[in-house]
Amino acid sequence: MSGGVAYESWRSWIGKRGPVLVARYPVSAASVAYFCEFTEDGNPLYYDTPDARARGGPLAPPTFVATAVRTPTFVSDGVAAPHQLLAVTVPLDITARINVRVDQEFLQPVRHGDLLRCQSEITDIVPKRTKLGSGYFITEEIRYWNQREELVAVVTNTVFSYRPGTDGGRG
Amino acid sequence: MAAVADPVSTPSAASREIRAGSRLPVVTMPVTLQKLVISAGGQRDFNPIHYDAEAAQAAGMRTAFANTFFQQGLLNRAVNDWAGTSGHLRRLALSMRAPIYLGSTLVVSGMVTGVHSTAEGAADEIEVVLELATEDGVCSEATATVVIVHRETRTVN
Repeated sequence: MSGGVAYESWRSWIGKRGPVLVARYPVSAASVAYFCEFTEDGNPLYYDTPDARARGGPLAPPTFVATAVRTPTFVSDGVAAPHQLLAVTVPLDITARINVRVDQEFLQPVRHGDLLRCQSEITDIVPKRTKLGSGYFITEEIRYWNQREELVAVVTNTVFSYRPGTDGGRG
Repeated sequence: MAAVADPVSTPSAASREIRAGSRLPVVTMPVTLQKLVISAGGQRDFNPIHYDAEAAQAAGMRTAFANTFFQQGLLNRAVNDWAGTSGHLRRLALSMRAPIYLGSTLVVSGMVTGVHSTAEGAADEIEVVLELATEDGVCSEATATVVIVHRETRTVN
């Protein structure tokens, strides 16, 4: 972030909502399989198995919702969508950030073929100095819906945005 | 999810006695650079602090470290390994206290803290506490609510 920011302006971001972000691609067998690769999660409900078909079709892991609306790093039409976390757009004199807490509530299963969208709202910003540096704990609530307008997940995420090793919180 | 009868379910917690104090099977995962790269690609999280040591050090970290999705994914897997196909996560709350660094071995453990049956007895809500630890000690703690649906048994001839 550049300098010259009116540092008090962050207070006005509490309650601010970001744009509705629509996934570029629907949830697919491939995107779910690639997501499950690192965890080596062999839950048969995530794949095209008799178990999954008996329950209405394969699912995505519940924690997949954030990945489902993630913007590709390259798109052929050159349109870049904003970052999913609204916290990173709050104008602050910081250079680093780290996620500290996530509370996820899963309300509906996400199935292969679903197209998710989400919207985020900043719910709290608290200046604080930690051993990492001085900065701000920024909490936002992200709501995810499917193409049937069903609320599938509510995620409350807190990021610590900071300047490493600096003194004195602003605010 | 619908409570359909299913002859091919994986072994589930529903078929075992679950009570406070029951422990989940431990999941162990070496945090290699390849694993972090596979993780970043699968999740579409390309923040370099999660696979580039220099980028992580510029943010004040010792080296690259596992991201939030990595931890959530492994917690979900630990629940799946234990609950089988009749169980699913209803809620997962994760608090991250210390980085899970590249080169460490991550151990996920969990324990049941409460069991609540629905009024109809069709499902149980299981409260679980989970922990992610490395050689550096406990890095993250989580609480989860797992719904386990009781299925009718089906006789397969």
